[in-house]
Amino acid sequence: MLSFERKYRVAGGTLVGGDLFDFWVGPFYVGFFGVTTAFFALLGTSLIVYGAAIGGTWNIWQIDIAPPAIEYGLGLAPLREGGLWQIITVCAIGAFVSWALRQVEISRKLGMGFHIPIAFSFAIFAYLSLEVFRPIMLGAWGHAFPYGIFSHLDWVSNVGYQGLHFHYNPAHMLAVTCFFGTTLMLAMHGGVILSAVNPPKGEEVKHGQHENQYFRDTIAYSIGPLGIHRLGWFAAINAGFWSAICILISGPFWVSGWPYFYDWYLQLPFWNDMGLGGLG
Amino acid sequence: MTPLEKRPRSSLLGVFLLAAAFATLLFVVLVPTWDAPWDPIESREWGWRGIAMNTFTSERTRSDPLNLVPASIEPFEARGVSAGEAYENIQVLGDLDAAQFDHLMLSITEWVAPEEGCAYCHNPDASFAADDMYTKKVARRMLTMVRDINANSRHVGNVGVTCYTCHRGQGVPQRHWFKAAEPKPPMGGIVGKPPPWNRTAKTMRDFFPRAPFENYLLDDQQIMGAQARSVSGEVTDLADLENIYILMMQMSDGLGGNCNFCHNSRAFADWSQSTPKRITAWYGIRMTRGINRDYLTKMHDLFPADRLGPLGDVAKVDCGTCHNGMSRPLGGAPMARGYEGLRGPGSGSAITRETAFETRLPYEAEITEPAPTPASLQQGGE
Repeated sequence: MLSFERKYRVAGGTLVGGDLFDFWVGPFYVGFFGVTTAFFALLGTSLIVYGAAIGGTWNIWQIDIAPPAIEYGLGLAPLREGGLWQIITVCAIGAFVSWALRQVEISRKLGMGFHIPIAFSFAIFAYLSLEVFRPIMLGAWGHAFPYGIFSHLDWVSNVGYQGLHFHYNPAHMLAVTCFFGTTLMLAMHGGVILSAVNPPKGEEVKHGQHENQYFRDTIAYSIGPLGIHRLGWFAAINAGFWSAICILISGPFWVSGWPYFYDWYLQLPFWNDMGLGGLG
Repeated sequence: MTPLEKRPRSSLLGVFLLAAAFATLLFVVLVPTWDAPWDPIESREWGWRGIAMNTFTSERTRSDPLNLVPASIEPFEARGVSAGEAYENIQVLGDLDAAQFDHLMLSITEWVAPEEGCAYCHNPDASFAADDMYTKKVARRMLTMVRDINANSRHVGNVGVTCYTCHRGQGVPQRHWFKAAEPKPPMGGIVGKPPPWNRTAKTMRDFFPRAPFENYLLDDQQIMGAQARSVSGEVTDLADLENIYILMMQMSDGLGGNCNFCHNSRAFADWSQSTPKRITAWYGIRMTRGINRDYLTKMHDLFPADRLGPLGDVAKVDCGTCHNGMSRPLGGAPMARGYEGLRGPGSGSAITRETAFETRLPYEAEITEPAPTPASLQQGGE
């Protein structure tokens, strides 16, 4: 334990279990949800190893634990025909949600806001969208992605081509924009902080106003030290949120190719009255 | 000391941005014709479980009235005389029983010209035997074509086609294509690339250039190289890639499916990871070529000018002409059953040219019996 760390190891703030699990193991806070996280993670990982063992290959690229065929619909499948995938998925959700609630407990202990668990819950939402919500809307667990390196890449590729050209998916456009925007902002933020604290030899270390001035000089505006973190948080969350939306609408709300989504624009009623000549 | 004046926290800009976001959301939800999970969406799986080789249909894509199977006309009792003996100028169906001939003629009228009736092909002021209307001469060639397809096409198999498979009660089938002139962009195009679209387009399909149709559905160009081969260093011509992509878009749309109906998209070219449907489609492309080249294009001189395209070519077919958005036209209804006159002698004629011996033999079972079986995939797990 670091010398000042004891000050922050305060009791209370738990959601479930009261004082029972309110302790630390080495540097880690345990709590009720630490126990459930460990339980689900261990069980799920062991089942993946078991699935690999009965799957016929130990080739790390080819290990594949696939969901049931869609003939099973939303029912339970035999262990070797997707049942294993179903249990592992329950374990994964249990572990992810436990982890988020553990983040909540730690935030409560420290008297902080819930920005971290809120951000993480968007990642969970994206996972649930892929593995639970979309399959339910399409009527079969078989629409979820398999656990395997090559097999899940096949899934990604094929889902993309289910819509003929996934880049035309409007929510996918937003998600990609937010993903790239987030990394750009993180790089710019990291760059300005590192450049301020690493001046040339003989120069003093610089602080906030230099960082602000750098962006005022380059792009006429600095969002400020708090603002950049709000913006980064917002953009990152939106990346996850819109990627969830883009997969939720792909199939359940749009079965044709995504390029045809924009036909509404060509079919707006007023084009007919504009006297545009066709090109033949 | 007076306290600082409190500034109101609300700003006009914020209100405006919120309103704009709400309006955009409302527009995106209301204007495009979305499907809905409670349609319900129906899905089918064509590959190994879990890898999403699935196709979907929704109420919107299932409810085209053109895909309803029309009521069939009860067959007539045989008359015991052949059409050749009973009527004059019978060139194709001379050996058919005259009653079956009448039955077929009535059916053709229902399939192609239900409103115009017999007068669509037969001049009401002249004898039924007269060949004075172009529609009759075209119909005779079309009849030959249908007989050829039903007798020789591996693509069609035992289901059989009738005039209705394409025509759906219309003189000219709804989906057809013409060659298109090189577009002349008014401002020289955008970065040197002329806009190849028709400004009267109603769907993305109308934006497609026609080169892929000419290359692959009329000429014998090979459909190859759809994936860049980074290992061998072989680079495919991007123009070819785009053409193949557009041809396949047309096929997906025509069949109401997507790429996964035939392919595992990670390895488009690999037959061992493709579904048996790809073999049927392979024959289909060759059948379409045959129809366009050996029948439609050769009838050019029969058509009046107003039936020809802007470059003076005849209307030609693609996958959607017959399929009209279904993986099997009219849901696989065996409409040709009972029409002896629609099946020609099986002579292996020019129509199919489906001669890839090594591709054909091992898969014949799948082609005559199109029950879906998962593709054999080379991956771990089974």
